[in-house]
Amino acid sequence: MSRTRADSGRPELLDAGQEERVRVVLAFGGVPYADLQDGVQQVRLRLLERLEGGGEPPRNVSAWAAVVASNLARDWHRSVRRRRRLEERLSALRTVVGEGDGGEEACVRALAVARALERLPDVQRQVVVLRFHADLSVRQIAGELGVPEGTVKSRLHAAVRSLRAVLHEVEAV
Amino acid sequence: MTVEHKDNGAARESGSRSVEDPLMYVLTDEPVPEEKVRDAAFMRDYRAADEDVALLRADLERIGQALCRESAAQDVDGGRTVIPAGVTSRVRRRWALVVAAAVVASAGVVIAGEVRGGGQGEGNPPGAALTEVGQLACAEVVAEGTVVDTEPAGDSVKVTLEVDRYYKPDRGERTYSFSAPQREAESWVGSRLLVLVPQPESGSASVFREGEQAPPGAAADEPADALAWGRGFVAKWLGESLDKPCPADH
Repeated sequence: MSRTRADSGRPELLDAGQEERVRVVLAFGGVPYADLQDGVQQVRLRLLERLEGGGEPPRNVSAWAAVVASNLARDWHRSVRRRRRLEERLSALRTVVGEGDGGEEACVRALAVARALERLPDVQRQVVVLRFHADLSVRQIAGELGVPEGTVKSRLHAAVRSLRAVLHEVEAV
Repeated sequence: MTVEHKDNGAARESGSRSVEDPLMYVLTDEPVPEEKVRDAAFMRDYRAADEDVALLRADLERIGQALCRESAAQDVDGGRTVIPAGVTSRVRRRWALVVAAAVVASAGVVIAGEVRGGGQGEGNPPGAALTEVGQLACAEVVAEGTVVDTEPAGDSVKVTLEVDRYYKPDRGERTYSFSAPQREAESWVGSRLLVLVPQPESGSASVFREGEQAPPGAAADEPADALAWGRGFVAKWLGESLDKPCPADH
């Protein structure tokens, strides 16, 4: 049977929900599936280094992990060429994207949004994912990224304006 | 969806867009001041922005699920599921749970209540006296795929499945054969099903076949289709079962 908290002698650094969120944030950042687990391990490692280096545990581990993951994804782009663009990956999963409410229309819209998301500057995509997927507040994002709240707001606003334009285009078709 | 209110396109990386913008109120969750609430044009654009952001949130959720489910789409490669090297067994368990959870998300399944047994099994499913977790803990293989061959074997039928998802263990051969007790299994070629095969000497396989009715006793708000119901069952209980031993006295 698998190792657990009890027999590993160390509590899990990230719980299942946090790990899942990290995976999604990495995936949104364009980290290929094959590298997602490496990404999760790197987030764990950074947390471990922080703790074992005598640093304070993050006040909000979920927020901290999501932001570290989003930064990691950006760094990943710089060192590793994306093997498959987000849109291509999602197109290959068209059936999956089309499941759930909304059917084909929602599928088309989601793919259009994915395409637009892909075109956003990294810093804008990062705040969109942190705000809407990781559900962090503007203040939390600013605090974790170390940038002024105004910067987060303007990045978020510019990104959402672009994404809204896509929604309007899809609706007009 | 409408155009933004008083959008002067002046967003600046270094500055803060005016909070007067309806979209900004939506993005920041800041309360709309009373004087703005009385501004019909402002509120129209605020509501439009709110609707659009809700749509974007839904799309992001959908995209995120799809990206996570990429594992399911890619998991069979040359007859072996692909798990990155060095992944711990705990992660493997989590992976199985993610796949199962993704399936349940797509099916919109909510499972509740007592065990009701499994699909097409002969009489009660293996471990009918077990809890849901117990049934899965005692399962040697849980897999989903399409029947590509059936062959009579004494009183039973050898069913060969072309597997596209292994739930337990998290990997396996591209094809998997199991014994089904009922003769009608001979006609299953082409059927899509989920099978729960108990450990040796622990009973017969439970089959959840697409197009069949969900097991008797399924709640009204549960899927009527046996396969969808079976997926929900697996999604609900598999993760918990992976840490549990099969009860010795079942």
